[in-house]
Order: sequence, then structure tokens, then C-alpha cells
Amino acid sequence: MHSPKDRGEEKALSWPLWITYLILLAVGVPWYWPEGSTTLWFGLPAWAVTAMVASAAISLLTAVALWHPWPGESDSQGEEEDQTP
Amino acid sequence: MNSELMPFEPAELAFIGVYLLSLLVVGWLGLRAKKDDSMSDFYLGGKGVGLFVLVLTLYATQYSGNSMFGYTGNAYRIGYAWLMCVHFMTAVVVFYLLLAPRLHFLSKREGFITPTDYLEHRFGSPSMNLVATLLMLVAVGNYLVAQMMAMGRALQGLMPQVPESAYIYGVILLALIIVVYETLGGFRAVAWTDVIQGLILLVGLFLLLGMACYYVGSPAAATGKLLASSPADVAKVLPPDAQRCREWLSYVVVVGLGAALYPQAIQRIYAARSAATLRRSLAVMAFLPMTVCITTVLVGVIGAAYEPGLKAAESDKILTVICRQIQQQSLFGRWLVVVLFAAILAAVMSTADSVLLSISSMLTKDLYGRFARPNASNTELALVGKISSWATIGLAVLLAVRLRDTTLMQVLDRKFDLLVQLAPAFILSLRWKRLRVGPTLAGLIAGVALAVTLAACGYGKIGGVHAGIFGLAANFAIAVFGSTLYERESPPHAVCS
Repeated sequence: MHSPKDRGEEKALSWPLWITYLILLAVGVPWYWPEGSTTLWFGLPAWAVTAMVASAAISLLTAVALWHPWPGESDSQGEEEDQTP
Repeated sequence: MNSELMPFEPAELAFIGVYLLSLLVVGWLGLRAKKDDSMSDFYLGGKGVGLFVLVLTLYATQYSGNSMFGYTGNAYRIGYAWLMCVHFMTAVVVFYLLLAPRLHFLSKREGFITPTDYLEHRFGSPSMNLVATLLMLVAVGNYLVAQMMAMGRALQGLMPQVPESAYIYGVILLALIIVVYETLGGFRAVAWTDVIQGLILLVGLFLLLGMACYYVGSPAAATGKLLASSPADVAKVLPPDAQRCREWLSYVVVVGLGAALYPQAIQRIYAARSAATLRRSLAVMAFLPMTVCITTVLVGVIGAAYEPGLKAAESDKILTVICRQIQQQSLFGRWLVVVLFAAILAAVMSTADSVLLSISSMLTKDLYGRFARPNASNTELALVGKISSWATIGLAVLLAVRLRDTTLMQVLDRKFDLLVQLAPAFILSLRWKRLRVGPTLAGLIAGVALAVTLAACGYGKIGGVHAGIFGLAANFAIAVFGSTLYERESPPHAVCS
């Protein structure tokens, strides 16, 4: 049985997460667009807009995966002030 | 078309001067914040780096002069297909998920300073330590020289009347500033200057896109113009062919894994104050590729539509061509370009300083401290660290001056092919207890040999796939099958958690 602290890393490494990454990458890479497609969305090539949206979704998914605490992480950590001058 | 900037006025040069001086002041503040003479304090800021600093130091270090000039140049040449850079830079953060949680935990528990400290903990093999350290030094060493060359070229563009002197004295001056603030404040100075540099870079990028749209043309207008031009220009808007799509996927793996294994990036995982700080920093980092990559791709496409005609390596100057156009428009445009120029310097210097500190730590701790003088005191190691920084920057300046007439070294393209070979030793070893040192080292050497041989024979990419991927496949197979066979002989050497 895993402790609550291990759950964060489990989330970060779960198969559904990595399968979702692969699906988003497959959508983002424009291999399936018809050759010579000149469809424009917002004045930009539709396939390029799709690639940017897929990238934004990958970023969002990564941020969600990083939401859960990692092993050995105490709740009080990381709240101190920065040492920036 | 003129690809040089208009010379800066004294007031504009003074602005750049103030920016450079501020870096020295930060170095001095880093010295004042020093807590002790330990290597951990000098090379990792005492492992107390907070969220704001960590995000900006990761950001400024990850994106270099190559990101500014190289990405706009690539988008100019191949068009929207260079959006692959958004995917491969996001992949860097995704691959951190495999690496960062356990490595950060172990670094806190075991007191790691260099990436090789982890390998020593995991494998306990001097041969593995030596091979991995040399590989990282070669990979990031030429990266440092490339940053020095980029600094020289940036200043050369500023003073076209005396290009040679501007290049040589520019490289020497900027290298001197970097090594002074680094010697004074170590990691703190590097990370804090990265904060200034990261913020300037962020502001500069938004200004760049805004100015290019306002003064040259919008991305939508540029797309329409390209579609109405020659077949070569139309191809920059059409979906990429199968080979380009394979190249896209290859970049995601080779750069995503390779950049996640940069020694300076691994050391930032160690330097984070806590796991929560690191986790939140990476969550912010996941969105930052959209600032640099999308901006530079759109600017490159705008350049391709409105400033056609730059061939091959010349196209890397498209950023300067666009800046000159903006400079000519108004006084406001001139000053915007000054800020943008500071952003370009920031991108180059922030990468160079982090690489320099990382090289110094590996030379000092992994080679001198581990092989030459294992019983050296902290004071001796601190002195060796500072001497190695000055020697490294001296050598980098010398090479940058000697190589000034060459295009950015092709070997630069090979650094990811080399770094990606460390993936089994760092990532697989964290997750698979049965991984053994012999097969991992054999796989590493075989992977490097295959990637380098393919590249040397002119097969840097085969069908769009990087030589490093073929090397990694061989590397991975040897490490996994070899460890499985070894398993029958004896139990594994070390624990991985």
C-alpha cells in the first residue's frame, strides 16, 4: 500500500497520463492533414493552429500532473520567501 | 536588404552598459549572501532556491541565443513546420516528470552537487563516473563556445564599422563580466542574474512580436502573402510531408530527453528549496515554450513573407533584418530595439553563465575531487573551482575568437545526440532497480559511438530521424538485455531509492 506522499509521483507516472500525452502528440503532429491543405483558421493554417492547441493541452496536462505532492514532500515546504535581492 | 542594425546612439549604449553593470552588482549581492565556503553553497546556492528564482533561472537557462536567432531562421526557411519547436521544448518539461521527483528527493538526502554524484550513488563505478562526466563536458563545452560566438556576433552587428574588433573585444568583455559575477556569487549570482535576464527576455519577446506585427505585418497577412507567392513560399504554409513529421517526432524525443539531461538543468533540480517549489516551478515552465517558440516561429514566418531572399545560413539574420526595419520607423522603435538587443544578450549570457558554472563544478568535484585529489579540503576545492571557471572561460573565448569566421559549429547540433545517451543511466536507473552498471556503461558507449559514427558519415538524420535516436535504441537494448542476463548471475549493486 502506498502512502499519500507517494500518490503524487504515481499520478506523474500513471499509464493513462502517458497515453493521453501520446494522443495529444498524435493530434499535434500534422501527419494526418491532407497534402496541400490550405484551410485557414483565424488567418493561420488550420494544421498549425491544431498543433499549437495540442501543445497548450500538453502544457495544461503537465501542470495538472504536477499538482499532486511528490514523495517526501511536506505540506509546509516551499512556502518560504525567495532569496531574490 | 541590410542585415545589420543601425549603430546605437550613446544614450542607447549607456542603457546596455547599465544593464551589464547591474549584473556585476548582483554578483556582489550574491557574495554578501554567501553562508559558508561549501561546494553546495557555491554551486547550488545552499539548495535554498525559491519558486520565483527557480522558474526564471530554468527559463533563462533553457532558452539561449540559438533560440532567438536559430528558431526565427528555421521558421524563415521551413515556415510553420518549425512549430515542432513548441512541442519539443514542452517535451523537456514532460520528461522531467520521469526524473525530477526521485532525483530531487535523493539529492536532498545524499547531498548531491553534480549530476555524476547521482551516478556514483546509484552505480558506484569510477568508469561510469568518468565516461558520463566527459560526455557531459564535451556536450556542454561546445555549447559554451557557441554562446560566446553568439555574443560576439550580437556586438558585431552593433558596430558594423569595426566588425572584427567589435567581435573580439565584445566576446572578451562579456566573458569577463560573466566570470566576475560568477566568481563572486556562484550559483546565487547566476540564478539572480537569470531573474533579470529571464524578465528582459520575456518582455523582449512580447515586444518583438508586437513590433513585427505593427511595423512589418501580422501573421495572418504574412500567411496570405506566402500563399500568393512562389511554390517554395506556399510550402511554408502547407502541412509538412511524412519525412518532416518523422523529424518532428524525432526532435520531441532527442531534444525533450537531451535538454532534460543538461547538467545545468539537473543541478537546478538539486538546488530547489523543496519538492513543492520544484513541482510548482515545473508547472509554470510547462507553459513557457509558448512564449519563446510561438513568438519566434511567427516572427520567422512574417520575415519569410515580407523579407524574402535570404539564403541558407544568411536566413539566421532575419531577426536582425526585422529589428533594423523597426529601428528605422521612429525614435520609439529605436528604443524598443535597444530593449530587444538587451533581451538577446540576456538569452545568451544567462545560458553561458549556467553552463560555465556547471562545467566548473564537474571539473572540480567529478574530475579533480574524485580522481586527482580525493582528500582535498573544501577550501582547496573552492579555489580549484574558481580557477577552473577562469580557465574554462579563457579557453572558450580563445576558441570563439579563432572560430569567428565559421558558421555556428555543426557539432552544436550533435550535443543532444550525445546527451540523450545518458537517459538509461539517469532515468531508467531511477525507475528500474535491476539495471546494472556494466550493461548501462556498455550501452552508453555503444550509443555514443553509433550516434557519432552516423553523424560523421553524413547520416546526422536518416529519413528525418536523428542519429542520436538510433544510438539510444542500441544503448537502451544493451542496458536492458544485459541487465536481465546479469540478474541471473548476481543481485544488483545499489538501491535506487
